[in-house]
Amino acid sequence: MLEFHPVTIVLTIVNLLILYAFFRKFLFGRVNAVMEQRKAMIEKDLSEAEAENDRARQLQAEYEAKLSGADQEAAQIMADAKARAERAYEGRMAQAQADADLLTAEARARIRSEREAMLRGAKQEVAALAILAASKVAQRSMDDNDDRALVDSFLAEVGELR
Amino acid sequence: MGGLKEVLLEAMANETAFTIPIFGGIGISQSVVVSWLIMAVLMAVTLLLTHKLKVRDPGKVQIALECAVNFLNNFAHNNIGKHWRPFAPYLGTVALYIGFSNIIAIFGLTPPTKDVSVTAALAAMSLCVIYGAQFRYRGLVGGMKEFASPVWILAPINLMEVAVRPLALCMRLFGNILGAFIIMELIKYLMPVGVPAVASIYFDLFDGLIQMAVFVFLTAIFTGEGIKEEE
Repeated sequence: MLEFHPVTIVLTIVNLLILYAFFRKFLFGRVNAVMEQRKAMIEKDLSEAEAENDRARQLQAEYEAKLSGADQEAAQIMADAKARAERAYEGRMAQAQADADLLTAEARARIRSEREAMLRGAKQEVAALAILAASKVAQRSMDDNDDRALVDSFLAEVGELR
Repeated sequence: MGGLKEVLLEAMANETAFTIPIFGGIGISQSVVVSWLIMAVLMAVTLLLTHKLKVRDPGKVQIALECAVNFLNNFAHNNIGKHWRPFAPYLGTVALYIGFSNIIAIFGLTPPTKDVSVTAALAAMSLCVIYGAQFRYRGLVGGMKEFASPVWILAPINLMEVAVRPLALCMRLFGNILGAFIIMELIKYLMPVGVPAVASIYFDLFDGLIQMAVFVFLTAIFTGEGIKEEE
């Protein structure tokens, strides 16, 4: 029962060494290699994804900068257009105002001159009527200059009284 | 009770399977033949399982295999420390060999680990691994100094352990497997039906796997002890 057989011991050691070499190569070697490869692959994928992420973030920042630039540009254009429109509007308004003022002034001048002409005509008519009436009263014609002056002064008196 | 005695003697004996007729006859014991059988099966299964491993999308078998190898690697790493890498395959080899040797009685074969010569060889290998690692990773002087740790006064005990550790490993494995084997033979002799199947689960399977774990665990711990603090 407790006999040590040198042959068995040596053969068992040889067996173990063979089995060790075999497993090292075909079992642990292969499985570990696959696990290492997977680890490397996952690490590579991760770093790639991170790089991709960084790139995307950079692009986003770039686009945002560009967008805000465009916004500013648009605002600038709008402001310019508004300013130009305002200027044009004001110019147009001033022109219109001036035209209207001119028209008003012309119309007013014409009205005044017409009124004066009418007044003058009426005055003459009244003077003629007065002279006619006076000559009728005096039974004589009052068309000479003295009489006309008289009537004019009379009329002026009457105008002052009124 | 003559039959019982015969059964016991037969269970304890190490049969010679055949003799190579050179140098006056080299006896190849049964345990070596069964070992070869176990090795052949293990190698064949290994080649079958590992001949197409995939990095992407592994199958269920591969996942199980990877889990086992991973477990072994972690085990070696935890017990041996940073130089675990070369030891994991050896520990795995020993675990598979002892494991299958211990439970081979289930298939009606004689466990090779019931032969004290086989366990002595295993223990001798462990001895080489334990002290080989100590000198390999600490150098000649460092390896010598390790015998005087933690204090020099323990040196005699540490030196004694060089002999005690392999002897304990050898005898523990041998005694447990031989004991289980004898008990199983007795049960089979006394109650041939039913009971052996149930008892086999404990004596062959459970005890066998426990002894395998103990052997591998102790080898790993002793190896780690020799080289661990060196950092």
